[in-house]
Amino acid sequence: MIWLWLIVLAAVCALALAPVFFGRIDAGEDDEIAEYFAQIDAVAADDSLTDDARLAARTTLERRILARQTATTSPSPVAGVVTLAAIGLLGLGLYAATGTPKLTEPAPANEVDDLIRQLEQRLATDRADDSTGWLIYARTLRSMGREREAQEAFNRAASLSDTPAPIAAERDRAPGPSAEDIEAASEMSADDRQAMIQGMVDGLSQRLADAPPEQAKDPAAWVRLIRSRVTLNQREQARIEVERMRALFADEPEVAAKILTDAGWTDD
Amino acid sequence: MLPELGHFALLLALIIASLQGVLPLVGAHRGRVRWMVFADRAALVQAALLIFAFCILTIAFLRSDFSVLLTAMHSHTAKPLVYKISGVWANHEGSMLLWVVILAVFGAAMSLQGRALPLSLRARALGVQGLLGAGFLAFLIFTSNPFERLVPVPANGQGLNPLLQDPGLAIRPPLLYIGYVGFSVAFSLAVAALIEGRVDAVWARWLRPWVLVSWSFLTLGITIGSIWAYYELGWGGWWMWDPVENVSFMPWLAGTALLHSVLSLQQRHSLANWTVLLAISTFALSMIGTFVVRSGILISVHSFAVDPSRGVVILTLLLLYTGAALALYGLRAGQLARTSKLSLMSREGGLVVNNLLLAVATATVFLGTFYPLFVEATSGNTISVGAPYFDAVFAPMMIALIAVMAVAPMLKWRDDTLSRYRKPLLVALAAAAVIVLLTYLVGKSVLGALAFGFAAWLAGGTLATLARRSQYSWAGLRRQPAGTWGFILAHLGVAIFTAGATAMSIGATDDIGRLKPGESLEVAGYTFTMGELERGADANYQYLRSDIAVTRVGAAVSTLSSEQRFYPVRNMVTSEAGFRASLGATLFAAIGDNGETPLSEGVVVRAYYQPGVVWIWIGALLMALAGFVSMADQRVRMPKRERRRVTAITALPAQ
Repeated sequence: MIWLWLIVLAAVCALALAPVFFGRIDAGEDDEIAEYFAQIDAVAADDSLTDDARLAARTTLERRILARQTATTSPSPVAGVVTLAAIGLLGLGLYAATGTPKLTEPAPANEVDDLIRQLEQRLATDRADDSTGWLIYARTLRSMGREREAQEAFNRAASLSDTPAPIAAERDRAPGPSAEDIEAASEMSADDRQAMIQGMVDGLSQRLADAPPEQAKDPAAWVRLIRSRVTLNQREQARIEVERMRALFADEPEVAAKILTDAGWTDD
Repeated sequence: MLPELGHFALLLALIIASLQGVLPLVGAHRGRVRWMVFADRAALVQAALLIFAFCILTIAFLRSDFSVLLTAMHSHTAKPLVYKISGVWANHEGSMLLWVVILAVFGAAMSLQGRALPLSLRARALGVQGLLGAGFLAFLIFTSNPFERLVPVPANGQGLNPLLQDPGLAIRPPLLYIGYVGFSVAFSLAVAALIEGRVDAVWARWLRPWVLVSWSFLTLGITIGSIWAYYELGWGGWWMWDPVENVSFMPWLAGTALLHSVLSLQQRHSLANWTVLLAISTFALSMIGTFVVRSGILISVHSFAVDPSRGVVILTLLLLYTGAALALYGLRAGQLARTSKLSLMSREGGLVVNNLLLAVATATVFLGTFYPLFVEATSGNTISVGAPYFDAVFAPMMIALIAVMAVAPMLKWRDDTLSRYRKPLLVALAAAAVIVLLTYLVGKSVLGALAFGFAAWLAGGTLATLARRSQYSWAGLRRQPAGTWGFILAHLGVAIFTAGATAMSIGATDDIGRLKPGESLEVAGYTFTMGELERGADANYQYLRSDIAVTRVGAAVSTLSSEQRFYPVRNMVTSEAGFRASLGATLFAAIGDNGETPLSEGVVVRAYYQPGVVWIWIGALLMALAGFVSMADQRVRMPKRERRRVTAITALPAQ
């Protein structure tokens, strides 16, 4: 696919340049010819000459123009072909040697996407009452950052289960790194861990800021964010995010208030 | 896919630039019109391709496409939009791409605006421009490819250097490069004229707008760099004679001389040799500036490309281009326009003196900048040449220059005497004497008073020239062309600049101390009292902050909010000093590095009193403005030759 676009680009350039070699060139482009034409005009306007003298002068000039014309403005096929070949062959050749065309192919199908699709189909049809299925679905959604949908899926799983309590607990637990991630984190130095945590919190903030309103209205996520900021003693940033949250939940002030209480936020 | 398209566009541009560098030059030699016309088309196509490539790189940054190595290394999803865009050129590869884009755009502009030039001259100039482009494009593609890919694609980038995340610094490279690269047009036109063997007043008229544009942007870029260094580094300095600053200053000095030489050539058919030589030198110095910053040969605030192999390539290109041009000059210099006898007491004489002084100034800055490198390369010893050297050699030249600048524009072009101008000169001298006296009484510094006197002398002489040209009437004043206003503004700008620099060097004081909240420092009659210390963290940094109250004789003057920031991811410390700028004195305070001492024992605070620093930049900005004003002058415009549409003659008419 990329090769098609490359050829198009090379062709556009070639087409832009080809007329110079093969098309019509205005004779007046040449300085000498332009000068002769100017002299013809001057001669025509000169009243001191007789008609005969004027005609003789004009003929001489025209002869000179003719002589120069063929030499200078005749098509230049060799140069043209060399130029266009260079653009096409050399260009594509250099690209083949130095470019990375493979990186333009569509990304390999995301395995998680496939899994999600399969699960969704199953849950919609024959496994609608399977608590475990819903639990797996919820966990997958959470790992993709689709927390709101994950909450609903957890609820569904809990309601279908004989033991809803652990499922409810998992639902309420802050989403975050898996067990392996946590183990890796504990092996990091304090600075790296700090940076990792900071990165996570920043990422969450960015996600909530970028998401469309329906997805951003995720009270649990806001609680987590504001609570993290307070813990990190980043009040300035927290203030900005509190305002953002308030603006988002402008028509649901009680939800906003609950978020702030849960997060342990006090206005100052 | 887009980055691959961008990469390909660069390759196509390289091929077309190479063709542009060869065909038109051969065509001009052989009289082949089509090959010469090819130069125009090729210049346009090259510019279009490079603008296209630049847009693609910008899109990669805006989209945070981390499959592009450059984006991964220098950007981040959380970066504000403005800095995502400026991030494109805040790194070696991107800025090099910007360089070649501007080079190509200037070539295209030369083609479009230069339709009145004879075809052979234009073709040759575009040919040289093409050769320049081909060399730098090859360097870009094969050693510093901005479209290099990164696999596997990281989740996020490594962000910008916090020092570079700043509006002043974001806009500086484009301005500076338009200045640097603009002089390539002067270079190309000079080499083309040498090949043609014709350097005259008409050629100077074509050259002048290009020199004006480049010089104005270069002035602007250098000034913004100085302002940035002042408020970002917070050391109270506006010019450190840092090697990176010096290498941008040298093309400016040479460019100023070039500007004045073009004027003389255009008006009086003289100084042709100077003009050609300066056109070659200015661009050579621009290339040196590029080489120095990129090779990592000097470690300073700006070094972000520390790869010696790149430096060698640029050095080779530089030597090749400059050497060839100078060789050509050596061969053809004898054929250039002859000058008649030069009389020193004339405007022309003044310009020659001006050129000599500027050339010597450039040479001294060059020596001071590169001598330490030379010594280090040959003997291994490290020596440093700093502000004392530069100040000592530069100041006397500036003074001589100012003395001449005040008088020369008043003189006739040829053969004049000073006695004709006794009255206006005496007025200017009197004004200067008054200023000297006043300054001495206030500042108690002889040198300072003298320097102020010179500034006043320059201002007086310039205004006297304006008065004379307007024949001392308002009507005459209104009739003055834009070019005159340009020169008036520029020279006044120099006077204002000199006054500001003098005020700073004689009047600036500062103090430093370890303060606890409530304690204070006394500087120049102002009391700087430190407020409560705040510690905290924000987006991606931790800070130490305090509000410093400034009072004078008990009355509140200002509150300076001063902060020191630590960026953990980048492991960098920056100082955000609190400023109160004014046309009088600028006050600022910076919280310094505490080292190992605990905060309970106080924090290091530096307080500064800086008179007249703002005038330095007002003067410099006035010079840049003057350049733009000059461009409005009708006489500067590219002449439009009537291009008649002529149909070819197919046969002679019957007798």
